[in-house]
Amino acid sequence: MYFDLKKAHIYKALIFDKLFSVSLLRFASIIFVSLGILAGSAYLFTQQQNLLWSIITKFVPEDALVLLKNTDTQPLKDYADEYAQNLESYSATYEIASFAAPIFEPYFWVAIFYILSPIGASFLFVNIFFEFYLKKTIARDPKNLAGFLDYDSAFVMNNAITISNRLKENEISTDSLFIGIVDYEPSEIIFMRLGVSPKHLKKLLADSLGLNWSLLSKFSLYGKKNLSEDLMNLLVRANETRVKENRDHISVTDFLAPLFDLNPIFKQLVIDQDLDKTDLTTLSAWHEGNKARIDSKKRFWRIQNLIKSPPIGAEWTYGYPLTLANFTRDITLPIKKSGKEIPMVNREKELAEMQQILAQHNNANILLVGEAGVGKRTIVAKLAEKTYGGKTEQQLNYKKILELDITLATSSSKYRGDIVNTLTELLKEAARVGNIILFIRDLQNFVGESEGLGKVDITGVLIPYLQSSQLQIIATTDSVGYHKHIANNSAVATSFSKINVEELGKIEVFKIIADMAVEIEAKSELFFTYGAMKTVVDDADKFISQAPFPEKGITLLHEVAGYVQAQRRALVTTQDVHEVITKKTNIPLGAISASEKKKLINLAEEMHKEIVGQEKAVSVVVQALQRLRSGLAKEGKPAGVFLFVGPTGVGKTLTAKMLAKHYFGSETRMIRFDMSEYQNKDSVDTLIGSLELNQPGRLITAVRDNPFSVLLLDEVEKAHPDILNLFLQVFDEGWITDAFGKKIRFDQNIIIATSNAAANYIREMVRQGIDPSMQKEKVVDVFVSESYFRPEFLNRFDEIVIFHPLTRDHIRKIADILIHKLVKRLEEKGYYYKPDEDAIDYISNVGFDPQFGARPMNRAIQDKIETVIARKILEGTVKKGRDFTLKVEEIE
Amino acid sequence: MLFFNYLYWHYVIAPVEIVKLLKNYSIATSRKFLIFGHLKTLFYPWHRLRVSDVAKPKNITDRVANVAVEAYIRLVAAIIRMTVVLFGVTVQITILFLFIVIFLAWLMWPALVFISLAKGITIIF
Repeated sequence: MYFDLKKAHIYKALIFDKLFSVSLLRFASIIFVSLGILAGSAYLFTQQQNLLWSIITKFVPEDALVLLKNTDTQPLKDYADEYAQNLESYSATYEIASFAAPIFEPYFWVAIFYILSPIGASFLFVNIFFEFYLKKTIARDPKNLAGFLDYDSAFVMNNAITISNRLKENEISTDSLFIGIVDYEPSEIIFMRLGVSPKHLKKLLADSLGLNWSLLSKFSLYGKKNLSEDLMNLLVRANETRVKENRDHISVTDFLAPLFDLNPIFKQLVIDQDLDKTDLTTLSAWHEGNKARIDSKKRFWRIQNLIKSPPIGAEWTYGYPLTLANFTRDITLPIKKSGKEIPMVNREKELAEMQQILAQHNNANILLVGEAGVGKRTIVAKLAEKTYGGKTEQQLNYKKILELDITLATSSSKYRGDIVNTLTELLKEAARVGNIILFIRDLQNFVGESEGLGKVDITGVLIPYLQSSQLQIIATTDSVGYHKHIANNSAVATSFSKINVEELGKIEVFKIIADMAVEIEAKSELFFTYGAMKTVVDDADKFISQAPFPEKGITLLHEVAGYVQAQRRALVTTQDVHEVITKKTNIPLGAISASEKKKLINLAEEMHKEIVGQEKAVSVVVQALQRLRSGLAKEGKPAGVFLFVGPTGVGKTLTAKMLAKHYFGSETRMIRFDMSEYQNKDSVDTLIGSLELNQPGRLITAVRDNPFSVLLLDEVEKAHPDILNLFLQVFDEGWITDAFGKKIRFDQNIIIATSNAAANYIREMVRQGIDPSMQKEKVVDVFVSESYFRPEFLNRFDEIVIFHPLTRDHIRKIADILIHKLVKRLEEKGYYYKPDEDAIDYISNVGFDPQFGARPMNRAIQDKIETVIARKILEGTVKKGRDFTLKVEEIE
Repeated sequence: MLFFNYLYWHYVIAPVEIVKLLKNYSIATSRKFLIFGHLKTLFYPWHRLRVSDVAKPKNITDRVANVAVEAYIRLVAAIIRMTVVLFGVTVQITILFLFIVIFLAWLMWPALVFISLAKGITIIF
């Protein structure tokens, strides 16, 4: 492979632009052609109107008129000389007539037309020659990389060579190419998409490379120069991208991904925007796709653009859907009105399958099965667009897709007989009209025994039409509805060809979001950076579980657009997306503020204000939070999975609450399951749901309703082994499937399992002066040997944290903390309690139980202190605004 | 060299593209006016309307009347369709004629430019 721009076909376009200034040529062709057309119009006008005559007759007396009618303008001049002094109007007429007489003559305009039109048309042809021939990429020598450049990339390469000469480089470097790209105005949009303003970029390059932009900006055709190895490498890789994407040209965006690897300044610039090489590749592919679509639309002479609307009279051989019009909606109407193509990504396979099935003679019915929000309706709308435009199978061309509102049809009467008759008439009419495909949404509501508000079983009415060749029906349902109502009904199930519509992947969703962002930009004054578009997809994937893609991405995109517009800004960045998600979930995202950094660094200290002792436990939790917030958590798994073991009442649940408070913003963001309630095999159904009983699972419902929370599994050792097996997948993969086939994700949950297993062993270790945290393996051995947990279960925890039994000191501290909490509560009500040390000592004695730990402490404070204070308030011995204290004798 | 490139494009590449354009416009016109479709369904009932759908014949007179009325409806439908077909054919012929004119003008363009400029200058002076 080599690179010689001079030998490439595209070089001629560069020379042409340099010599003739294409923009000027374009302008000239428009002017000349317009003037030529104007001249032609003026010729017709002057010929018809005899303009000179009509002006003259306003000012000149009748006898002169007679003279003028039969002669040329000379008599007018003579006449005007005679009357010039007295009659201003005559002199004005004379001046007009003698000087401007030709413009009122048809011959003048004919001449202008003959001169200007061919010049204008010639300019136009030269323009077309430049745009459609010179600028076309024609690679005569497949070894010359320059032959594959498109006009923009050739211009940039030429720029790079010129710049390299000005910088006095021995070889053209990647720096010169980078500067060449920045200096090329059409590339500005690419950098703006990356979130970098061209002004800032030019300053960055000026500072890094010591550039003087004013000296660089003169374009000239280059002399021969060698490329550096890096630049050659870059061009080879750009060409590989071209081949991979099956294009005939290398564009400017193809330079970006290899430039990331080969130019440190560009690499740092991209990294500073939180982007990487993959993002550059994605941006390039999307940009090229967009360009190709816009170019294709501009070429109005292409057959696809000429045959957009249906033929005249296509409907004349089909009937009138008179009754149907009252109960249906024509899906093709919005397409007719807008004239725009319906955007659809990566559903070509489903669309092709649908066309094939509908073109069959018998059982030409389709059932689209997929979750709400995956895009079933968009696929049907796209099919409607194709049939409307006659771009599908011959049997389907020019057919209409009508969405049948069964609820409306069935609400016409309360008697089942009437409903059946109405529906039968509608289906009969649809079959008779001949060019209708019926579309029924949520078929599960109308098939099967379930009756209720808006639901009626239409199986009996539907089946004869499903099985005939007179009518085609497309229906949609979701997975649960299909399995519950349709799969068991063989007559209905076998009449439809089932097509599964799966949720789109992130790459496809990005294309949808990016295209939609461009549409929003066209209607508003917003501009979305690539980072913002990508973050919409990433954050919707991570934080929105109630809907599938692409719906959740589209919803989030509109929310972000609304959020930025409300602030009267124009640029939508990654931070805006994070702010919208943080508002919805309370999870801090995006850049870490100075105050948040300080909070995270001092988090252990903060947590120890409420958790006494348990330094190791607090340290583990704090480290997990710090990793999460820094973005280092593992993708696709729960945010953290911990096993807290130790005696009862030592702070395991309190630690979980603190975690919920500091990460999810509130102690209430905790879902708690007492696993001792799930000791039977049937408990699995209780947790994940039952299809037979049509009951959702408790675990599923809780996590679905609170996706950003701590999931606390108390006394996990008491759960049935099947339940523990369920959690094996949750801990490992971060998701499970419920009884209805829906996937539930746990990647935004922190899961904490607590256990009192081996509590006695731990106490014994402490009694012997051994720190159980340092001998964790021995504790784990006890778990396995005593069959509390299997090794594969224990292996899935990020950390097993051993909680120590509480010492006397710890108990006293806890008593102190709890009593001071009481003091604060009383202060809010106006009572100022000053606890003395003896009271705290007493409470710490009575509030501690070796078996239950510090759990009885709250009860002790309530019974001993709060009760006494309440009595004294009632007696009047404790008054608002005054300090008081309680002696030990009073609270004993 | 650019001049020779232009000549090559003007006399080799562009005429082929003009023919392709003609093909596109012909296909589009044929589809737009549904020329073959209308000819195939020339005597089909108008919007599948049949007299017998509205007025059920009770006796032989009714039947004969129905047949006569239906024949009349089909004839009117055929006239409407034929009008569209003829209009479409006219448009096709016009397009073909225009393209031939454009094609010839394209091939003779340098001469046409010269003649036009000369005529214009002559008229003025």
